[in-house]
Amino acid sequence: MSAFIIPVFILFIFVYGLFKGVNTYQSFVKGAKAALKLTFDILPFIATILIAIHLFAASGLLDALAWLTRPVFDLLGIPHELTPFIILKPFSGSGSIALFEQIVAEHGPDSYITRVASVIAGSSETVFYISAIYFSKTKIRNLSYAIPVALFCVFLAAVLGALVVRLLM
Amino acid sequence: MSILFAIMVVASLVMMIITNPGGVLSTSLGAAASGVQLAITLAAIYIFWMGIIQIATDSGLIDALARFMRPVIRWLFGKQTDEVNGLLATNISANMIGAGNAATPAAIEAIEKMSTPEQKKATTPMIMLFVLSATSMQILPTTIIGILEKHGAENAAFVILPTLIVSTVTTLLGVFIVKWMGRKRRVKPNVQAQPVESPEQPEEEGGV
Repeated sequence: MSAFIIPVFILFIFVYGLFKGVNTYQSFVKGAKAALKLTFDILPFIATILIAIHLFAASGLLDALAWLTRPVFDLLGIPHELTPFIILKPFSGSGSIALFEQIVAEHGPDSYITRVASVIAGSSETVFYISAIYFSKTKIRNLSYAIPVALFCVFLAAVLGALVVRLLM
Repeated sequence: MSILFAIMVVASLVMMIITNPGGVLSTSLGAAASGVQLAITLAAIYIFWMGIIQIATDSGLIDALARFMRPVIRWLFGKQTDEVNGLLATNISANMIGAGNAATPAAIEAIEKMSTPEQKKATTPMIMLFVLSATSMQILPTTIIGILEKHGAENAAFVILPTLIVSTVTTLLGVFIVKWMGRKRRVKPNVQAQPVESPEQPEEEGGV
């Protein structure tokens, strides 16, 4: 049933556009162009952050950090396979998407672990990354309580995600 | 992010020079290559979704959404200029359909428009926008569903409901914490001493 949601949503946008006399072909191409420019702009960030993260993982430091925090995750009911992903998520959206793809490939696209990872990925953003770029055009460097609140909410998303997916599956 | 990047790279290099010096270059170049590959995957996802969003923009659907959201924006951010309101609506709606990267430019501009050139400290509406983006209230986690489908998921849409539940809870919590902190700031006596600007304007210094 829920598999129909996205196709119906897309159909609605197209039909509404046609109804309003929009040249859907031209509009779509315009959006696609912006998408390509966006991808081009974020590619250096993706590559740079991935290098740092791959080095961090290859050096064994990520595993060490995951091992250190594992009791906390077990206690909260979060599958420990997701520890590196959850630790990485606040730093890098693209890096955590890469890890997410690894999780999907390893555990299967319909598994519990993949679904918890999907919920975490979908319900939290890259706190440190956006803290850097959101304020990039201003002189504001003091974000007050913004980052602690954001990190708390992001971590809560992981705890709730593990719980809600278990209840729904 | 800059400090963290430096710490991660230096610590990893020190560690790898001890344990596996031969792996440094191959790991780095492999990571860069997977970055390029990932960008191609993302380009495919963005081309499709941003094409759809453009149709929704040109048909006035996004504007309608912004009008529909006006009371919410007013409640969250207080009184802002029309221009800022439009940017906030764009940001929130783009985040809602999972196009976080499309939402980012609007947020950068909104924060710029909300600040004064010499301002050093974030105000409550800016923190609200930041926390809202961080908890990303999503109706459609499009990127994630795209990846799941690429890997042959039988029921990728399963994740929509739990994502919606979780992001609703964390977003509401984030909003209430920011509102509560904002009010605490507001009742501080030294702020009320100068009634000039909006009460959200924080005092210039004073620890924590």
